Amino acid sequence: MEPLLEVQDLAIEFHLFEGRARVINGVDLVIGRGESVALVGETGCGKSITARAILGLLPPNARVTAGRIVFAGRALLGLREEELRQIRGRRIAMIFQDPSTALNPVFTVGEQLLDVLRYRDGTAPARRLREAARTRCLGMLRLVRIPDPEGTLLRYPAELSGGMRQRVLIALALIQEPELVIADEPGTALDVSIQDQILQELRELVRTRGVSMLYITHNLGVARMVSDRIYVMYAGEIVEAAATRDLFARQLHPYSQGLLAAIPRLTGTIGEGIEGRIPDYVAPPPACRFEPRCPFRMPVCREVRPRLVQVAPGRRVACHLYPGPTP
Amino acid sequence: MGGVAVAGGELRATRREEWRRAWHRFRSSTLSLVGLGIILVMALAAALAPLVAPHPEHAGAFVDFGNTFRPPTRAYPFGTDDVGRDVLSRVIFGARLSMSVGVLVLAIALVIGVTLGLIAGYWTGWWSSLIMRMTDVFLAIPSIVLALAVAAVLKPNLVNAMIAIAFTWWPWYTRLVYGEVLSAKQEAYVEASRSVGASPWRVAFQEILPNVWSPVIVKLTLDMGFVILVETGLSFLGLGAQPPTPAWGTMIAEGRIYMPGHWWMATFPGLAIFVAVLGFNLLGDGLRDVFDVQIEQWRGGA
Repeated sequence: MEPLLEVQDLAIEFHLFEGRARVINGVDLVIGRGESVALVGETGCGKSITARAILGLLPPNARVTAGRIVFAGRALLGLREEELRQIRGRRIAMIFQDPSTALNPVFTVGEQLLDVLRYRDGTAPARRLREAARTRCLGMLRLVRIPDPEGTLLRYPAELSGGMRQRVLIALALIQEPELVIADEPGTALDVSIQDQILQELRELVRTRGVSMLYITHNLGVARMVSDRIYVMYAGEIVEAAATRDLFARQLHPYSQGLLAAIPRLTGTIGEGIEGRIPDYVAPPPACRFEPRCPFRMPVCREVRPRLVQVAPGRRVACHLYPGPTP
Repeated sequence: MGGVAVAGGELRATRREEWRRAWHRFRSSTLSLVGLGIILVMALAAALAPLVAPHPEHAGAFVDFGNTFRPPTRAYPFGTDDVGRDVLSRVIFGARLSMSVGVLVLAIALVIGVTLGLIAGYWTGWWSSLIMRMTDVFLAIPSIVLALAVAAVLKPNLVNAMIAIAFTWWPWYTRLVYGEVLSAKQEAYVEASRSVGASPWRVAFQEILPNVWSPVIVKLTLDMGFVILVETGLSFLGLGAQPPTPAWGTMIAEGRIYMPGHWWMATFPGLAIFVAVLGFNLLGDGLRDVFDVQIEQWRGGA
């Protein structure tokens, strides 16, 4: 598959009061055209930072210290702000997590959708074009299954339910027909049933339109539903990469095993969970970042950083339990 | 933005309902209603001054020496002054002047203050510190003293008095908007609009600015009264409107020397100032309750 986005050995540091925190520590990630990829990990593991780095929207105290981000054959890091603006929204769009805050409260849905179309042209569209733009907005709202799209155009975000707002956010991301959509845990703030429905629809949309998607979530169940492949992230590193089906069949990295065991079952038992929490980024464990929490830790885990190695076709893991092909 | 079809009836009903709710909240305080009443009456009188004043010609350089120092009577409810002019007519024209000064001063302060506050709040850097420290310096100087200094350096007339007041007033808006922008720019919708390719300029002026209007509107209303107070102060000291312009401050200054025998000359313009300031304060407090905003109060003049 032709890669649309390639992240290579990305490292990002945050300047904090406590010192430099290496929050992203060599992330590799590939998304093919038309592929849906999930990035899974617990809160604080750097998923959202990775997404923001792709869009060039890192907070001011963060610096990319190494690595490359290549989108459609073009290196994104080092592009000027104006060049990045041409890419944001048009070619890479983002769906935000919290529908109640990601819409501007003082503009109607119609105004916000039309505004996005206008960023594209730079100028206010002529009357004739405005009618066309409006038709396009309506079509978009229909596509994300908003009932009464005409009325919704005139509503303020506060006048919509959470589910409708999330749909509007999806419409906002898709209206410029981007090639890559980054979804940062959309629907997390919603009822499970509505979240489910929206995810199904999103998956469907992505499939039928040939859009690539990077889906960020801490929920493995969600990842299973929406993705073709999964990257498991821990403390700023990719620890396992596999096709979704393979990962659910068998998890190789102890962290992936723990994540899966932590899912509550319908049988009534609560998942086991993983002892401890994400390490301190300013003074991380010396070699393997998961070592302090790992049930299988060995002396080597404190000395040599495990590299992501191929252990089977399409399957890579970073763990000393799986020695790769010897170099 | 146009180009959107007519709203559904249900939607219009919801919007109407919201206005009704806001009005209900405003109305629940009698004092807010009193304030609104005062300002409406005063604004109408100011706008229609030539029609409502019993002797519109008395507003300017008019003399009738056969008619001087008349105490309040049915014909001259506020009496007449030292050259025989109707005090009521002059107070009404004075309202016109004070209101226009208030509006103009605040318009200037608003444009400068909001722009600087937005720039300092959104684009952080050395210039934002510079802007904010500059406002601190301006705020450390009592505004009437600063206005006095500016008015004294320039020629004493009404336009210069307005410039002087606006000069002391913009920092309040810079500070207010700066704080609001700092918190608004953390909102997810700001990041969302950046993620679809909006330019910083666009994010600042079209996404953030519309979200900071409520406290600004409340402050504008409250400030109308205070600006009128400072303007009448400057006029009283001879640094504002010059005779024979019917300004409240000038009228008090002229009437003062005839106190207490011909008390009506200074008392009625004084009462007008009192009522105007009171009206704007009550109205502003009412709006503050409706918008539910918390803003820093003006700390008084000198």
